Amino acid sequence: MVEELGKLLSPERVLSGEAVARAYDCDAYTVDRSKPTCVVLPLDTAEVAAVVRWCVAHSVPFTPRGAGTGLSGGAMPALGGVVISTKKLNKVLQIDIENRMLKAQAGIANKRISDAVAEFGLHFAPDPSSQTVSTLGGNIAENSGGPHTLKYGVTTQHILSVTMVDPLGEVLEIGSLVPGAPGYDLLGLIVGGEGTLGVVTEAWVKLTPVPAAVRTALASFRTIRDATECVAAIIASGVIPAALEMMDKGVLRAVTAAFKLDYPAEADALLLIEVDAKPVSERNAAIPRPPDTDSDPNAVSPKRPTPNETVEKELSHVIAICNAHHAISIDMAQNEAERQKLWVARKKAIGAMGRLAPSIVTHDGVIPRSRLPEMLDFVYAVAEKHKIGVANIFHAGDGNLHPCFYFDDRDPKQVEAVIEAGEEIIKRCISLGGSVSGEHGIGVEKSDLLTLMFTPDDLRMQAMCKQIFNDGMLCNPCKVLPNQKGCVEHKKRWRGVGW
Amino acid sequence: MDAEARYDEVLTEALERRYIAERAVTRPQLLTSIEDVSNVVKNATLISSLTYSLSHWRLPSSVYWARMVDAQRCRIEDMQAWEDEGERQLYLREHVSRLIEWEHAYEQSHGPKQPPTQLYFSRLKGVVEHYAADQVVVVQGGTRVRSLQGELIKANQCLPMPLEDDNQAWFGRGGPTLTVADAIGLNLPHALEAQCGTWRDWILGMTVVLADGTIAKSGSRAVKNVAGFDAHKLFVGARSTLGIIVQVTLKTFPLASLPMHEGVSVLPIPMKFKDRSMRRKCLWIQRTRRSDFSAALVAARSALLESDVASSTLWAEIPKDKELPRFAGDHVIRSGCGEMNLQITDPTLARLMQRAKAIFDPTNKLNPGELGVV
Ligand SMILES: Cc1cc2nc3c(=O)[nH]c(=O)nc-3n(C[C@H](O)[C@H](O)[C@H](O)COP(=O)(O)OP(=O)(O)OC[C@H]3O[C@@H](n4cnc5c(N)ncnc54)[C@H](O)[C@@H]3O)c2cc1C
Repeated sequence: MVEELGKLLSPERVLSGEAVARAYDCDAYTVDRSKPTCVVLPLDTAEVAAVVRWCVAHSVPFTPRGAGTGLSGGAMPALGGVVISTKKLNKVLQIDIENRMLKAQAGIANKRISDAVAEFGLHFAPDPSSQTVSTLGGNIAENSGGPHTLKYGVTTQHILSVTMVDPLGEVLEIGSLVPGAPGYDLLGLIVGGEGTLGVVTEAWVKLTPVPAAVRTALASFRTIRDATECVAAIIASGVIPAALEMMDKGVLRAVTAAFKLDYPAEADALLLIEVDAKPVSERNAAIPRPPDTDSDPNAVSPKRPTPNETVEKELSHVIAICNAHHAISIDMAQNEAERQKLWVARKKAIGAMGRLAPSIVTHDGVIPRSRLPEMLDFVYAVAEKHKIGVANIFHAGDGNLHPCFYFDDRDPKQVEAVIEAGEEIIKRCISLGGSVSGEHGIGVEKSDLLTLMFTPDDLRMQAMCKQIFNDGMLCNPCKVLPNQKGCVEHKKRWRGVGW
Repeated sequence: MDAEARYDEVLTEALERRYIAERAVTRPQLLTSIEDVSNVVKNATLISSLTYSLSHWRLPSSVYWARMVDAQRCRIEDMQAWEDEGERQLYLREHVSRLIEWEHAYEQSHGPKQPPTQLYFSRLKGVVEHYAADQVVVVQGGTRVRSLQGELIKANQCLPMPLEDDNQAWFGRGGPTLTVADAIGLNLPHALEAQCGTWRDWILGMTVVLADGTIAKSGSRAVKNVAGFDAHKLFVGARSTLGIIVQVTLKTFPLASLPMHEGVSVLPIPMKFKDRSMRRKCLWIQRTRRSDFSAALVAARSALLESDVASSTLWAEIPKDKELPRFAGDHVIRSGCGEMNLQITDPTLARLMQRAKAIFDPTNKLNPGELGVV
């Protein structure tokens, strides 16, 4: 295999051997592992197509892989075979500032897209916390979100078209450079398809103007309930902040210890709030105006608020809501340096939590936002019942929870408790009208959980969607849909992602 | 009697007297529950569920004449607004004679027709639940967009699309009677798209009836969700060729967050065409890249009815036998131009659509021919 693939690409771009197999046997979800026979590093679409066609001709499974930061085992080669790494597909191919779009290869790191157009006041809006390493292809496959998803949407809203090698090795262009073209929304399936519908090699992405004004505040609350009720009230009031992120006392404890940060001693919850406003030119464009308006040409249009005025107004509105929910302190950033400081706790929390216990497992359930207060109460009650520690850091504005259980995985009793606690939480998310995953995807980790959320008929419809592109078992097998033939059962060691 | 009941009455009367009686078509099914839809779809061999009456594709299949019945229904609703009874009569006469002509043509090329089942949704309607604090609404497919907006506005929310969008009327369904399922199936450009997105962005979950009668759902009520494939996206703009949308969970928008108009927050901006008679003429909707939009506007010149700079979309009146210049990557949707109304020119897309159709509707019973897929 290695030799033949080496002829198709070049020998140095086909990696094999025990060390390689071990390095590529999982992604950031390390519970389930499976080794590939080899890893290929194609340079372009044609090479990817050649590899896929070879795999099809020899009935060898293949699995696309970006940076391997996935949190549900999506890039794990479940049935072995070839890992198609996009590591060398990392170029910006075309930038079209006038039309606000950029074409890049799938292996480019998310952040590099924004860097490439920063000088034009544009950026690629999806901002997963892993954005310095996670790839465009991975973001597309997982339909990734980030702290600013609340206002700017997830990846699917920002992809215009993709070049993809389908599971039989044919190159397809899907989507259109002008959004909203008639026809079935196949791009909508590929984004979020978790790499099971083909290998994306290039994509045209939308570029979004960098906000002209941003205001960031960090509010602390005496109880998590005050904070979650505050979030529900902000959403209900109709303001859409750019970000609304929450951390509870478990997280606070960790970041305070790790980074010597100072938060009010009596605070049990922090709420990070960011509001922003577009440049004025964008807002003018928002108004549809017939060219032959019969309006009075001498009419003076009322003065529009500047971006700064807009954010100040939104911020004061949000602050008033925080105060009404008994915020004990509210810090407001006066400049970019202070803004970055307010974000420290949010950005560094995961790393800091490593100090809490030998093992940490985080979940990704999502619920309707108004249910946050009762859901958080439930999370604490479950942790207490099972006598395990829990810390919460999450995208509160989207209702996307990340409860992190910390425990000692050398103790089988604790492991058992973590498994049970996780299941209880996921089940509650579903019963509240939510979902098993807000952004980490299903992969191998949660495929059996899908049956809690969907009936066999619902899942059959999903299988039909997959069948449009992938009617076989070679392209990223054993992912997303449960009970696929020939797949080993997911190891039920613990649910969630161990950090 | 409220307007809707009157509409139903006019519809039934017209269908029965002028067409059903004459041509022996089955009565429209009045569906009141999702199970009803499932049963009907399961047992039917042919379903004409939506009216894209002006977007005929290639008249490829037996549903074509059925669609004409549907078209009739929509026309009637237009006629309600016609004050001149003479004009109404004339129109009806002409229209019915055209229907019969088409039907003969169909029978000649395909043999005797089967009676289609016509799904009539106006009873499968209403808001199932409005979770106002979450800005989420669950609504039946047959709910009129206008009634839904009315409900949402009571809670200072809305769907960010023009309330009375005449542009929908161009496609055979008057703005006021357009249902949520129809609007999703059509997925037409609208004036707030660049700022607030489209149906694709607002749909959080959906229940559909598949061609074999299976009731299947996708998505959830949460605003963010990556549980499995986004099956519901496939039904947006699919004009009921893959399944029948019976219930939808939608993200709503606070009125306060809508784009500002001259410094004042307004309801979604209605896209009103000045001349009502324009409705019966030929519409050209074109969306281009930003860089081509000025040229497209200039080219449209006096034919231009409306434009939206933010999404680079223009609406113009262009007769059937004329075209405006086309630009790289642009797309056009027309009305009143038969098979020219909507063309899928990308061969890859067309092929994959056929594949999807074969998987979702193997016996080709759901609106065959629509969008060019059979
Ligand atoms: C510290 C950390 C923070 C994170 N924060 C976030 C967050 O805020 N939001 C969020 O949504 N996620 C987050 N994640 C999860 C992860 O980063 C995202 O899912 C990311 O999009 C994965 O990108 P990747 O390049 O690492 O993909 P991989 O992990 O390599 O692959 C992920 C999936 O995508 C498929 N895939 C990869 N490339 C392609 C391609 N070219 N074509 C087709 N399929 C492909 C793989 O087969 C696999 O199924 C985080 C992860 C970590 C470790």
